[in-house]
Amino acid sequence: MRTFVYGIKQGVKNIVQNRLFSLAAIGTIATCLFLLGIFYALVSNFQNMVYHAESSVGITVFFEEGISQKQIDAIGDKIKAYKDVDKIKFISAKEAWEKFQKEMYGDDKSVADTFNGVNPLENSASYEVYLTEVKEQNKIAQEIEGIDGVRKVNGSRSVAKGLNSFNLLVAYVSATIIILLLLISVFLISTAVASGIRVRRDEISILQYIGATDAFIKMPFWFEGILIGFCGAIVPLVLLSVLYDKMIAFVLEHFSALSEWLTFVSTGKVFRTLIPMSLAVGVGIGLVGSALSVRKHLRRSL
Amino acid sequence: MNTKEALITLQDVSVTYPTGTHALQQINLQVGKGEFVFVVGSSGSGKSTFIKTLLGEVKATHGKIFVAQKQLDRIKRKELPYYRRILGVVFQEFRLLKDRNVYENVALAQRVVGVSKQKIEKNVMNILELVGLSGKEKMRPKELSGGEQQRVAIARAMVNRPAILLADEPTGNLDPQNSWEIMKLLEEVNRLGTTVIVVTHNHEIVNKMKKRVIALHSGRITSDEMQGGYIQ
Repeated sequence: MRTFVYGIKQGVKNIVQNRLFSLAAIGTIATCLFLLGIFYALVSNFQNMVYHAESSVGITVFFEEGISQKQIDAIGDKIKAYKDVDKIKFISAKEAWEKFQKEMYGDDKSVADTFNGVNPLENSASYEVYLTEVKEQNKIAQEIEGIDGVRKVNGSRSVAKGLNSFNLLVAYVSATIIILLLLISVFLISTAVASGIRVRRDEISILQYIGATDAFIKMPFWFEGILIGFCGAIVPLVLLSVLYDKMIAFVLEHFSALSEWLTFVSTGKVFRTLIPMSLAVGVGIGLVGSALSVRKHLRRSL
Repeated sequence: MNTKEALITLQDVSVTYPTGTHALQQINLQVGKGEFVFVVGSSGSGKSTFIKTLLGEVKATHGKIFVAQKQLDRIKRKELPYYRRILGVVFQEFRLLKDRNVYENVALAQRVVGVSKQKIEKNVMNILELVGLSGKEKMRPKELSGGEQQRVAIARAMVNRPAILLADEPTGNLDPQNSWEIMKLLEEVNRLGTTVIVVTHNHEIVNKMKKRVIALHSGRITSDEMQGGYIQ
């Protein structure tokens, strides 16, 4: 316990004595974790929006001519049995024609009247199929095409594929940037600790001569790294907690046209993951950075 | 050779550095418990390597070393700190921590071995009294004379009551009067039962103190005399 307290005291002392390097390291970790927080908030919000968008992206299944309602119901049962199908909706030929008229001509009935009550979409009754996983659309559409009585399957495949690809792209780009920043942070912490080791080389040498164990000598440097990492994590968390709600309010105010698409994750939900993640990453890279430095610079003298 | 119980035994010990320098060659000697030994020799004679070898800082490339029944050449790296607790070390340049006062410099040696706070206080005050620094425990090294700084270093080396005190040119940075006072202190430490090995260049001290003198030249022992003198 005394060794532990000594380690913490010396770790704090190292940070104070070596404040420029320590501040640089804290600043880099804070920047890195601030960006991590922003990317995390972006990715989780984007995923949230994709999830909502996915529920509105469906497959349309048309039937062969002359098919009975009983056969249509049987096809519906088969589709509902697929694992990734969330729900299906039957659109009769009449509903399809009304929907088409509304989409094409609005409230103008004059064009529709030229058809003299004949439904040109007589054979266009269909099922709208909604999936739980939009990436499964291609596979499920192919399987539905194979069901007896199915004439044609229209899917919003390009939309689904596009949403997934974009989501993946955002995740890969964020991961790459974050990994690069984390490596820079590890390097900076390592440099800060190495500088502390240089400053304390005399003390380390004395400690070795008077029989201090490796752990006793290394402990202050481990604490130094952990404290730097911890401080580097707290700063961006405080900043993000202030900025997150303001950013959402700003986006909703200035991009109100997109409000149907913009469904944000709540602050509480984002921070439930972000707080432990940032602290773990901050303390983790602090420990890794100092351990690497201690291993490299103390090995020579121990 | 002395007849006392051997505390340090070197058997055919050689140290060759990676550069090819033969720093010690076929050293055979025994130092008994409670002895006071001077190790003398010119620069490059192997005195520093001798001290470093006993500290476990340099490994013997040949031969066997026994210190307090431990075979030093077989000690593992993780066991080295515990081995070093048998030894106290004093250097020419004192090597005190400038940002800590006298008390803290001495107490560090006790803290390292896990002594309780109350015992540290008692032991540090006792050892400071022994070295003649009572009342100066709050002073920083820069506020002390060279002789006083060396006394702090001796106090730090002795506070854990080591079996052996190694002193590497302890009077190298001191004037004659302070040098004598430090040597008297080392003699007192020896009188209390600690084996003392002093590496020095100081002819006057060696010749006057009439202790055992081991002379090294080019890494070899050229003479080993009880109550010897400095031979150049």
